[in-house]
Amino acid sequence: MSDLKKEGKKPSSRLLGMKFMQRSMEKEMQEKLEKERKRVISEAEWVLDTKETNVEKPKIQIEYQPSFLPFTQDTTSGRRSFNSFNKEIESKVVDEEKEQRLAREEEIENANKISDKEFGKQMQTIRSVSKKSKKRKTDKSDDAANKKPKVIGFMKPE
Amino acid sequence: MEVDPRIVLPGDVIDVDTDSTVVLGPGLRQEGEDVVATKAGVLRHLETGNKWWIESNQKRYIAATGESVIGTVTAKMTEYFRVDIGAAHSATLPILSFEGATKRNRPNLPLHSLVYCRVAMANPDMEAELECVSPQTGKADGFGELTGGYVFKCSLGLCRRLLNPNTPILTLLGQYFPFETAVGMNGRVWINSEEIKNTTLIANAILNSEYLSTEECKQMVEELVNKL
Repeated sequence: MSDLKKEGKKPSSRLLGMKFMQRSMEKEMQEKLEKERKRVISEAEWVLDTKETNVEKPKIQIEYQPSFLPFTQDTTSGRRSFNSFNKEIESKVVDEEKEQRLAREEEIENANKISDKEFGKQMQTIRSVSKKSKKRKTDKSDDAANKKPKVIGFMKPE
Repeated sequence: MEVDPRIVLPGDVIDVDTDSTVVLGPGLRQEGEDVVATKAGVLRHLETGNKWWIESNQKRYIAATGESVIGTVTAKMTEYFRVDIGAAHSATLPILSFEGATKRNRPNLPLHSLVYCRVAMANPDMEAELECVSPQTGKADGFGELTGGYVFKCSLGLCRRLLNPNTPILTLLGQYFPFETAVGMNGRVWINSEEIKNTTLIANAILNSEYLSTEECKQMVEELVNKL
């Protein structure tokens, strides 16, 4: 009996059973559960430590063309007729060829055009012309040293 | 072309002049700072517009905008036809995309009929959309239903060569018979001629001509015609 009392003045079981004691104990239980839930949720969410790594944009500008059509150098004629089997188509083929050739030549011209402003700038300084000839002489010596060996991969045996 | 055409394998890094915008065609991809080949084939380059692409051959078609294809009607819905073009998914062909079509005047395409149409829009995520009119003029211009004749499959590289009018095989055959042909970039070729034996001869000649040179093509065509 002395042992039981020596364990400290714990509230007796009758006291514990009373309503007000139960209420405060329940509050504590709730708080504990809340804490557990919060801990579980916060451990499930995590953030990568990426603030320090900078994502750089690649320096080359690329445009993708998934079809082979813009890369053809000759006219493409889908429907053709031979020996006057289908006369409508034969007459259309000639027109198509003209149109496609025009379009191709226009593209080439547009690519080579320089805008008037740029042309003016190029013509403004005579210095740039003489600088070019000097550059050429120094370039030759550089070229021999730094030129990348031309990568010729597998060549088709012809 | 400034670079010698060379054969590349998937994974090869390609030196590209990066001063202006680079246009990458089929078979090339950008990985970080480099341009890498994803298909095996011959690397080609065009100076105007700084275009690079790989010429390779394959049999499976992947839809791309602007290409003319031959399709088979598999189903008729209220607003469109479902057409099989040989890609991974079937394509849709709206009923109003025909010349002179209105809601009252619908095109009457029976099931399993052949259509020569153009890919209006193609996305890797969605079904391709086709149209049977040329986008600039709004007229048929060769698109539409293909009646009669015979369709067969070939590789995509052969189809691209057949589209080029300088390829000798079709002109060689055209000297002997009257016929008409429609070439789809999805690996399908349609031939129509008066007699069935001519049609079969033409089909066999085209299929065999894939790897032959001009001289060999001539010989083959002459032999086939003499056998008739």
